[in-house]
Amino acid sequence: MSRPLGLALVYVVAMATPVDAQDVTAQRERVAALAARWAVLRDSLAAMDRDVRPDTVIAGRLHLLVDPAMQEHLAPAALIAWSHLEAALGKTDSELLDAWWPAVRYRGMDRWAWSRAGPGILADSARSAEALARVIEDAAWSWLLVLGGNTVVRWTSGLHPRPGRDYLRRAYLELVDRPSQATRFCYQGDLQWCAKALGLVEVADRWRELTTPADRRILLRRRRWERSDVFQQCQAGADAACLRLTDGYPLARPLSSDATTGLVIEARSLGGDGALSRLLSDSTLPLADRLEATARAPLDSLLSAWHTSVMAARPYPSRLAGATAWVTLFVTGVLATFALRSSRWRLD
Amino acid sequence: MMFRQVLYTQWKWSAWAVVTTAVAAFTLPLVSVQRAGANTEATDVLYLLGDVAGVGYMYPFLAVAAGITIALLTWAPDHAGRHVYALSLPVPRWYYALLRYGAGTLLLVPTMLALWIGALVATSSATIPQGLDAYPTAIAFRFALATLFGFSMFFALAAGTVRTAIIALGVAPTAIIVTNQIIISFGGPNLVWTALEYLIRLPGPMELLFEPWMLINV
Repeated sequence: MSRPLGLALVYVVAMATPVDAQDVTAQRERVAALAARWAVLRDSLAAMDRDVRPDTVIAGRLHLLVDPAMQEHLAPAALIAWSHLEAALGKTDSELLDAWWPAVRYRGMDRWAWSRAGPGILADSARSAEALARVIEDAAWSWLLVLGGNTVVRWTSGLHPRPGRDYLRRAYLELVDRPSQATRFCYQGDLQWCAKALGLVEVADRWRELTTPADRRILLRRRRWERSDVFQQCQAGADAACLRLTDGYPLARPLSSDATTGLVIEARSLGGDGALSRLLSDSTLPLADRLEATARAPLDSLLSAWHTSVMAARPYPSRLAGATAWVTLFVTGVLATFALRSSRWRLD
Repeated sequence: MMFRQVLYTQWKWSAWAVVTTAVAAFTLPLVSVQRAGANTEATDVLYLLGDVAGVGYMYPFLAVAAGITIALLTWAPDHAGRHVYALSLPVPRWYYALLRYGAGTLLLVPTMLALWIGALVATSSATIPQGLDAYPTAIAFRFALATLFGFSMFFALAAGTVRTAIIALGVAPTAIIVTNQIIISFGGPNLVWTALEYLIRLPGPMELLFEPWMLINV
């Protein structure tokens, strides 16, 4: 090494900011996540090489490895799936799919190939292109979810609205029927409590912080198998007995993954292009920070928007539909007319 | 004048039924909110809604039962007297039936009102958790429609001969079900089920009866 280069190296080493332990851990986790993704891809490709001669169906940014015999069957489904995914993901986020090369196995063609192939898509030649497209889309969304790391996988069940599932309406019902002061205060618009109910803020002791003594009695009453003396004391109003019963019995987050999925959808809608990439980019950050990055807004603003949407999604199932009332009145009128024309008095 | 007489006689025949159904209609909403009324602290919303839904099944039964009872009682004396009294009146058949229908409908009003008042009393005395609402007027309106529907159906049946009733309630359904089974056995569609779906789902006339009846709900 030449003298100037050696001096420069010494200078760089001397001026470099020391790396603290947290950064090292974070970097290690990143490397581990990348290694895991690489392993999935490598296994998938290796399995394809081993079992069949793979071919690739390409539709937009979708790359599906498939037995050449089934290429024609898969291609239309891939096109449909891509059109849906592109519309849902947008330009930037759809680039995430560049790294996804799933193997598509057809059921019945090779009985054991699927189990050897590792992660991928199980297809069925009897299915229509639309049905197969849905399978591909589901697999893509699951893969994207896993991309977010364990924190996201544990926290939410989805990153996009599934057809026929109204996440906001479900969140409203949960805010109403969950015995927790977190959901009650959140319902009233206290965003700090919403964050706790959604699991965005660490809570040391959920039983004590998120529930009142009355809530605890209700929650423990639902353990129908419990009939001990302590349980009876708890139900009689002794909160100390209730707290004894909660030992070793973890309390689930008050709001379910339906509510968190609704929040992710809201964050993506606020964040616009590239929102999902920002959510999934750094798996070491706390969820709240990742959601702020997703929405490009402070957590309070995101929670406020979500709360407003949830309140607006309130269902009114007990209201009678106007059509029902009119149809019933019409049929009633028809029946009454039949009665006026009855044959009872006809002499002929 | 004639309507008043018809109403009076009809009331005499069916007063017991009117009073019984009215008392039942008044009591039903009170029963459904018993748990909500007793709670002074946090209410288990799921239990409360379970109670309300459980009692909710009784509303359509009571509505239809009240309608059927009044409809059958409306024609019972005419059938017993072989319609001699009605035939002796200087009015056409349709006019007489209309008077009977009007009087029967009017006799259903106390039951409808009793349910409405009962629902109002029940919901005003109950502790309703946040996020839930009481629907006393919606339930009462629905009850009124269901009662009227049941009454009209059986008023039409009872207005005819016994033979017509047997055909409408026994022979025709049996024939339809048997034919349907034959069609199904030959690989055809289940027409009875399809027809029932049209009747029960919006905008079928019986959707009113089969949707959950919740006095308290979100």
